[in-house]
Amino acid sequence: MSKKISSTNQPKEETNLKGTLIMVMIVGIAILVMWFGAYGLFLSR
Amino acid sequence: MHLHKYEKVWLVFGLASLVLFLLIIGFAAFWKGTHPQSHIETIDPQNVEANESFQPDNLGLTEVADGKYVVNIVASAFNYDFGKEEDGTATKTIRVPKGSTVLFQVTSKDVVHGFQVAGTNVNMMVEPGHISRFESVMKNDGEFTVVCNEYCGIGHHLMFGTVEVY
Amino acid sequence: MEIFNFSKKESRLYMAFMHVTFISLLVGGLMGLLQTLVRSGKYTLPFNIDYYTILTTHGVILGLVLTTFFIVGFQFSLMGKTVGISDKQLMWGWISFWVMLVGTVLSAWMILTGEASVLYTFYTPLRAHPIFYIGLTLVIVGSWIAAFTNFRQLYVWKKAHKGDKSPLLAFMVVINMIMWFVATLGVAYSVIVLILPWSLGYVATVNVLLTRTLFWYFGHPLVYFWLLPAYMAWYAIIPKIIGGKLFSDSLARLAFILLLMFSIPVGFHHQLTEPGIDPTWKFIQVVLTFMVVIPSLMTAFSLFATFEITGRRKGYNSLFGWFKKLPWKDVRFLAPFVGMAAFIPGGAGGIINASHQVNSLVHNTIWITGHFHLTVATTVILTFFGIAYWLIPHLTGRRLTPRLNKLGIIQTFIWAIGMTIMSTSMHIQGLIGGPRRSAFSKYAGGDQVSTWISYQIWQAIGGTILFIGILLMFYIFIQLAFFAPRGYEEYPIAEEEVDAEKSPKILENWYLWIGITIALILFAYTIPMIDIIKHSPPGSIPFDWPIGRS
Repeated sequence: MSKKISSTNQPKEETNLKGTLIMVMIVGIAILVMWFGAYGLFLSR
Repeated sequence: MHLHKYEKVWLVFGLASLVLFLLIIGFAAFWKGTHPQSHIETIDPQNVEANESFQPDNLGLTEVADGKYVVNIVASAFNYDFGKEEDGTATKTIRVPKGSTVLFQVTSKDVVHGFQVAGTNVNMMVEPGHISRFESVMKNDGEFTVVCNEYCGIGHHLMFGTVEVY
Repeated sequence: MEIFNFSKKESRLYMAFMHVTFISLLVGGLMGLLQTLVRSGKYTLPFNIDYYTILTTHGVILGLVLTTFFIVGFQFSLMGKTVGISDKQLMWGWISFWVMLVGTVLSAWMILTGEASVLYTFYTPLRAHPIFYIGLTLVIVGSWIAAFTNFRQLYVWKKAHKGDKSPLLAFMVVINMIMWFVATLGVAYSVIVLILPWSLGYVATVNVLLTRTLFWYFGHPLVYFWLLPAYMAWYAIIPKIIGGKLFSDSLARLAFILLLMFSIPVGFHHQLTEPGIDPTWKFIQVVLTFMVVIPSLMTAFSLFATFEITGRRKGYNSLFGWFKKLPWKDVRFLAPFVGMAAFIPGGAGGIINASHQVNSLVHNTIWITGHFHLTVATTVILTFFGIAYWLIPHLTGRRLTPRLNKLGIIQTFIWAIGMTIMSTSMHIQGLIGGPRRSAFSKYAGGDQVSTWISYQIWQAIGGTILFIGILLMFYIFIQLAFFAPRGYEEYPIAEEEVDAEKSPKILENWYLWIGITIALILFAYTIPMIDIIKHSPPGSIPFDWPIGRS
């Protein structure tokens, strides 16, 4: 079932995942903002 | 194993963020010395007075140099012993001027307690057999509640004090 | 892909675990409601019930009982579906169930009679009744029986399928159970060797720091033991529900291997403000903790990619068209999706908690409570609910009707709203210093305390909404278990793409991954453990009176 079969489907690298990249980047920025917010609060105390 | 090129971008970005966080906290910890408290100093929990800092007369606030203070505290269920006022009543409030450097030294006579000067970075576990120690510059003025923030029994929420920075 | 049908007696085993799960939800949820009400300052518990009795019940019944029963039952069903179960294995499944249940009943009996108000962390030298510790030990031993049965199931399948790669979900279950077994060895040692003899009075003193360290050696993998079944559903079940395929079998396996390796050698990030551990070793475990973020970053990408590929294949080709067209009206998708969304602030908060000295900003404040109510009580539990909507009717031979689906969607909204209110107010209150694990108190009064109390009122509002959500979920469970119309509900398991890349054989090299896991644990713990034992203070005698035992 895991045999590689040649097929007419596009190979993975050409799959359009632009939306995915934007979504994960939003997640990444949320992490950065929260972390620096907490670090700033830590420094102010 | 195949990685989509955007997944590579994402993982590089994510890894770089993690490394950045680690560099910041690592630099602060190892170069600036802002480790969380860890002194690995032990004490007999059934005889804390054997340590000079925790003899009844030495509890509470002492000014050791100009602008430098030490506060010694013995925690027990469900009380912080900050020593006594001149009139003999138990001290409940520690008053220090803004900008002073205060070393908090706490130990427990019985179970595990917490010691947090809420609203500051002074936040330690206090465990029987260990001395908890944390030095902090009191940057901001105000009244800060000292809370036991580790469950120590049914009177846990009644264990508190006050630090006033003026 | 081979799929096994469940026999009647098999379904009965899996359902037994589900019954305990949902009864636990109701009992534990009620305790949670009472806690938020007490902490609002406007309500006192009747019949002299102590706050810390209900707090212990809440933590033990939801954190240890509900999760373990659901996970063991769900994982048994995954193994049954993908590799099958023999009659003998089924018998061991029942033995694991009964051992866990007896343990639960013993511990619950001690907690409810006030003999074990020690919270789910049972930190020494507070001493609970010995039966409490025996009960907890039985819950763990029962889960070990399940773990070894699962290992055996895959082993038997592999022998019959020489050269085939193991089914993805069976692989994931085995990873989770290996992690669980390695991690629970620590807490089992602590309870059986250190605490139990001391609680019985055979040994005079206990090393407090050692028991804490062994607890947290187990305590962090515990949270990953909760999370991994949710990841199983996200990787290998959700794609089927939305009409897609697996994004990548090998990346899913790699993520699970990384989770196995980095979930355990990280317990010190729960002990960052501990007086007796060398800060350098704390920092080393902080670095290892940050490594465990990586498989979650991979998971985030895989999920969005699954959604996007599926949507684009259906013809929604605009930048976010695929997102809009996700099956929002299918609760089997919606509930886990809300769980995924909660993991964004949940995960980010986790990174903050683990950030060495920054931990003192939040340690033991109610921020932490807010944090794990996002991770386990939203991300994990909503995914478990999402699983229950199809698993229960599949097991009982009934159907998730449109009406029940709709109620599930309402349930998900109620949960999202209640948790947003409760968890956000906990996070904020924690940042301004409000402590966790505390009954209502005005402390010394003052502005700071009255601000805390205003957030506690919000928590009571959020907690009440959440309890309504629990009642609704319990109703849905009863319907699906006993009253929904007879029929067939699909057990969704995603398939690989026809042209999927072959997964490298090395991903199934168990010796290698277990070897690295053990090596990392030895690296992270050996020297600090020797330090802890060598520099140990005089031991602690037991304390009964602080928890109200005479």
